[in-house]
Amino acid sequence: MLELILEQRYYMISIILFAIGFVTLFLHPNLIKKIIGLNLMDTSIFLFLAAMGYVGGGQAPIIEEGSSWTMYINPVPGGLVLTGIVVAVSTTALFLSLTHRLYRKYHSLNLDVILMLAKKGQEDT
Amino acid sequence: MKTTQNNNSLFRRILQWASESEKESADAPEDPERQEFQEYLEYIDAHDYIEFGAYRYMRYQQRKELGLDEPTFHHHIEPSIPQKKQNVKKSHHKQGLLRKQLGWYRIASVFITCVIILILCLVVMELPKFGDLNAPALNEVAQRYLQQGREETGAVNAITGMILEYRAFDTFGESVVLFAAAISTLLLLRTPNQPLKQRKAGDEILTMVSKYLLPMIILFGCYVVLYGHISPGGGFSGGAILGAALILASLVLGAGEVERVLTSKRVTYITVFSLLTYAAMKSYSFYTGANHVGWAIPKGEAGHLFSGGFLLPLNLCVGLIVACTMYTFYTLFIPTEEE
Amino acid sequence: MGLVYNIPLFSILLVVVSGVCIPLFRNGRHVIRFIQIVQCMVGVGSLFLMVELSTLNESFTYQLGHVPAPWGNELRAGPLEGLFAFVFSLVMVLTFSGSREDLIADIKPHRLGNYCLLMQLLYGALLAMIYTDDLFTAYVFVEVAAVTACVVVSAKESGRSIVSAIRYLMFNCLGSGLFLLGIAILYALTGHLLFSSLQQAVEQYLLSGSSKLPLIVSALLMTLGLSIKSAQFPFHAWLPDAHASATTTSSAILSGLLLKGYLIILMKLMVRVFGPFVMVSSYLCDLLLLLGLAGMLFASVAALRQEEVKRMIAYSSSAQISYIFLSLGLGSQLGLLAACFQIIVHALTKSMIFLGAGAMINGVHGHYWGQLRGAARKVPVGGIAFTVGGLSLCGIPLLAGFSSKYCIALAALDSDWQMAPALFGLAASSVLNAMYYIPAILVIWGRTKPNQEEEWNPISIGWEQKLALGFLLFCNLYLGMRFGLVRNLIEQGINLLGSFG
Repeated sequence: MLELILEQRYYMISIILFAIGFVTLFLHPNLIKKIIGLNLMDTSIFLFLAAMGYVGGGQAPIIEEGSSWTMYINPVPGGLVLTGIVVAVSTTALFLSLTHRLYRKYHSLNLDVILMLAKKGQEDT
Repeated sequence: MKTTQNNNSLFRRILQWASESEKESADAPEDPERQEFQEYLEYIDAHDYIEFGAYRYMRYQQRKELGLDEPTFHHHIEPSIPQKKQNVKKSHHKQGLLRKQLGWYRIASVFITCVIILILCLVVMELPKFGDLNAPALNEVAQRYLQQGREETGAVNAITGMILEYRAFDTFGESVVLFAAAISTLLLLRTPNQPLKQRKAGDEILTMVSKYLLPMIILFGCYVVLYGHISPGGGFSGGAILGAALILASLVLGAGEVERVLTSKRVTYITVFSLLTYAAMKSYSFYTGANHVGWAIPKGEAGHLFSGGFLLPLNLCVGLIVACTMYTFYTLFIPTEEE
Repeated sequence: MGLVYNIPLFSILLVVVSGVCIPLFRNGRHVIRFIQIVQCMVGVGSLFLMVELSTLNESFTYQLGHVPAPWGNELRAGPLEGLFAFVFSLVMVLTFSGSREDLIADIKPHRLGNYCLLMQLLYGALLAMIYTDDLFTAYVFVEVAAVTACVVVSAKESGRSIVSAIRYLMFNCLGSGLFLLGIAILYALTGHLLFSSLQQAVEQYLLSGSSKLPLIVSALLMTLGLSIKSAQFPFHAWLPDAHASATTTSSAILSGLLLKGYLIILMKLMVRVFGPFVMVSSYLCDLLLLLGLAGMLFASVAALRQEEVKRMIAYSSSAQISYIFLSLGLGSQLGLLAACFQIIVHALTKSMIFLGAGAMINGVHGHYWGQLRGAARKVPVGGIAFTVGGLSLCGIPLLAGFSSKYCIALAALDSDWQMAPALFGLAASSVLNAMYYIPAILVIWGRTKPNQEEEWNPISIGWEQKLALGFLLFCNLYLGMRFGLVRNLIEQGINLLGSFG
């Protein structure tokens, strides 16, 4: 059992990181920390994918002519991680710009406070 | 951005406040800002932590409700303390209830997360072993990318070959995501005809170091983009390096030097044209491939710079898109004059 | 291979490229026309594709690039996909026509171009979701839709709309995280991303009986991720705010089309990858049924308490999405048919209701029920659209909502133990729908002051808006009275898509 856990350690760690990111994203009231949680969550999935692509003794898939090496890692997860990174960058930028707008309006980064203020503003108008 | 400044120096102000309170006598004229801060600390003590800026804004709103509309929101004390306290008491009552509910919500979500972790860990145990040579993921799909990729795409780097030739449609979608994000931040943060805040150039060490560093970074970025199909790298990584170089240049040169050359409009145009070129090249390739009409682009000899058919221009387009997007993200977060 | 087969690829490319070209325009108002023309072209193309494939009774896969399918990307189209693309294009065009004035009033002129750009990219992503045959392509375009939809919500730039956009983004990120994790697990097990290859690999696992848990969990994760994104009941927290605070065009498109895009992917996953065996053995079907039932009742109850018209419609959207989940959860071919029919009916009806409500809100400058009293007398066209849409969702015969409920009931009657709960849910939620739509209709047609004859002075609205609402009205009546044609088309499409149940 323990051996199995050790063998699958990368997957395990990525699962735990995913959970930490998830909890931070949903429970922390501070928007910046939410963004950190989001990034943690995404990165954990990249770790999962990258670990999946590894092949024992494999090399980066740069196929040089005449090289005697025949073992390469699986290139597909690499491509998937690349896509994932791009998506994560985009959502982070979007999240940050929304946060920036909210801070300019409500002078706070705390989502609870912002929700309260937004509700109040809505009742006023 | 006055409030942030205050907020940033919160710790310093606590220290200052603590040390000054010993020195000063009780009947000395009160510093209004200090008094406000004292009230703020009391408020935190009584309720929950909120930021100073938010606290001030709340108080400002309360004052407005009471009809004591003072324009001096930043610097003066408010005169009506007893009324304020009444108000606060009312909201405190509500807040207690809310906090109780939130507590349950928190406990429930942590519990659910623990269950999810447990289930996923069980799943992970059943997955193929780490580094397994016979993993199901290493099937004919991955094998073909590795073994025939060199002949079929003309790329030495199998990942570049995969993302720009075999799975080019996904990569097109990816560039669209980036473009959408750039336009989104533009839509949210940009207000036209507003001059950027004049910033000082970086300090001397920074300027000196980056004067020598910048050309090298740009050169390296270009190399990574152009040799993306031959060596490790490609449009995405090279573009990120180029974007970083642009940001560094903008920081070091200061005073909007880079912004003057690369205005937001021009950056958008570059992105648009790169995306259009990408789409044009790929739709030619998709169309000819799907309808089995000929393919007139020479593949060249694998391992040379001009090889791999469309791979080099495609990498270039992707690199430009990424660099411009990174730079757009950066410029939009620069404070404008208004703030 | 005739030119017809190129329609799926070129409609996606045309839409995305036309979106990308928008920064080259100067005037925002011309942009609206431009994207409407493109949408019309794609709509006509899809109609042509649908008719052609339906007469030939075939579906095809379209290889993207020079390498065949398991290695390269692939698109797939049949009559069903053509129908979806056609309906979606129609709703896009009509929504832009019907809420043109709102759009120009709500969004600052220098942002109008970028708003249209994002809308066009969203539409392109929806088309790609309809036609895709590859799990990862689906993921990428789901992300395009997520990014654009968040900004589209916040485009009105009021504080409230930005707060709701940030909450929407949070849920969206969680949804895509779970979806990606599901894809990763499935890829680790099978090494494929293409639907048809995945299906074979999954079948082999089922025959050998190994690795059942990972398979089920990955199916569960993907379902969960997609249902968060499509605002199914326990995860609907973001929806009412997002729809209520956005401008009318955004609400109509998001509620009418976007939520369905995710469901189409879910449906494809169920039919083309997991197949009935995994769905039933993992209780996934039962889960969907349960979620659907709960959503139908709770969302309707929540809608009863809303004081804002758009919030009420948003809750009703969540309830209507639950109908789709319920019919998918029946796990039969008939259930699938009912789900597809409900997707089409709801896309057309909900956009009509939102447009009507938007016109009335504009007419009286208020969105609470108290302010909306007598609004339909001021804006009769909007009032009629809202009334017909509301009655249709209550299930009044001769309207589209009735025929979709009829399809769901037929599917429920065909199933075994699910019959009683499904029929009960259907009946209860119809009553609940009536309980909030009929008072709303009475309010808008009521008089502002009792016992007093008021003069009839409707506000004039543009011909374009009238035309759009009239056309949607016509579609609703048509689907209510003669749904045989569409139903046959869907049946043909589903049979070509794969067998289920």
